[in-house]
Amino acid sequence: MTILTANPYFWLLGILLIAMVLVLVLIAYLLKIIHEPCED
Amino acid sequence: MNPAKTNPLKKFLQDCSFLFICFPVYLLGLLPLQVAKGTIGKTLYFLSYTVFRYRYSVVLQNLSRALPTKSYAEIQEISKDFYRHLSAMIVETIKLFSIRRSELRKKVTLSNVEMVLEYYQQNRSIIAILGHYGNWEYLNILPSYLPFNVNAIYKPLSSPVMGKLIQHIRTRFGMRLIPANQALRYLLKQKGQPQMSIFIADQFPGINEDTKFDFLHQSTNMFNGAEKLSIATDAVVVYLDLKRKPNDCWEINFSLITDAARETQDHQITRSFAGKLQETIKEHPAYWLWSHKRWKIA
Repeated sequence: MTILTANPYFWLLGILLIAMVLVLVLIAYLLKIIHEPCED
Repeated sequence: MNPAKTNPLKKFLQDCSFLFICFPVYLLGLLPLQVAKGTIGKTLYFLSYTVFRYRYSVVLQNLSRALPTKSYAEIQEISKDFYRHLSAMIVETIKLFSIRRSELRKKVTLSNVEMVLEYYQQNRSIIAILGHYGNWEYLNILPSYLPFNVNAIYKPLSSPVMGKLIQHIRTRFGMRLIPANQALRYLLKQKGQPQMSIFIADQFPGINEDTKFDFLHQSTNMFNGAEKLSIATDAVVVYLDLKRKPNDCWEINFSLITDAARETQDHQITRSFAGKLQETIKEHPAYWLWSHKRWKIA
């Protein structure tokens, strides 16, 4: 575990993954709000 | 009533979520639009069209029914263009969170604005109707072009956090947001003060036999709130049309529907709007929001 966390790529990949998930969640929300007022 | 107004903890959590969402939106907004479209936009297109097939059956069904003269290959091509447009629109909307006024003014130009200004000189209020066509969020720049107040009549979103985000985007350049259920009261109160109120009026309004029109080859219930408001306030009614221009620019074109709303026959304004929107859609079908369930019950 220590070897893993000592590797800077672990953190870089982790941050990138979190950022990607955030962006995907945001985009999913945007798609939802684009359609929401049309279909209520 | 928003429960967060009475519950401080809920309000605090909503504010935190808002900041949490604002952060990636702000960071993405720092990217130049072309770069954002080339990377995020293309990825989003790939994910929505090729991988997840987001609402693909709805898009194909809507297109096939609305454009019966097109071949299947043409329908598929339009659907691809639609997903490209939807992806670009999302990137543009994210960019609107932080775009500078001068940059947006370069992207959005007005045409036939003289007509609107002439009615303003005559102290007339204007109701502008449009469909879910092009990137309607770009209309938030209108107040910086016009010498009078511009209101957008809107339906509050179910998510308060996303509602706040969209509210921020729409009001950045001076647009006023009026909830649809308060629009009549607000406009009657403001009578005598010329202003423009924008309605997006092509959404599904629920079943109402009175307002059925032939729209895109289908019997379609149309929302007639804009017509009722224009008659109640004796406003000039214009149709707002967005045209895609080279270099990702949009042109907002105003065309007159009527300047004597009270003298029109029942549903004449709504019918005229439906006809104009239909022409716009047929000209460049890919820019309409084909992924919404427009004819879900009708």
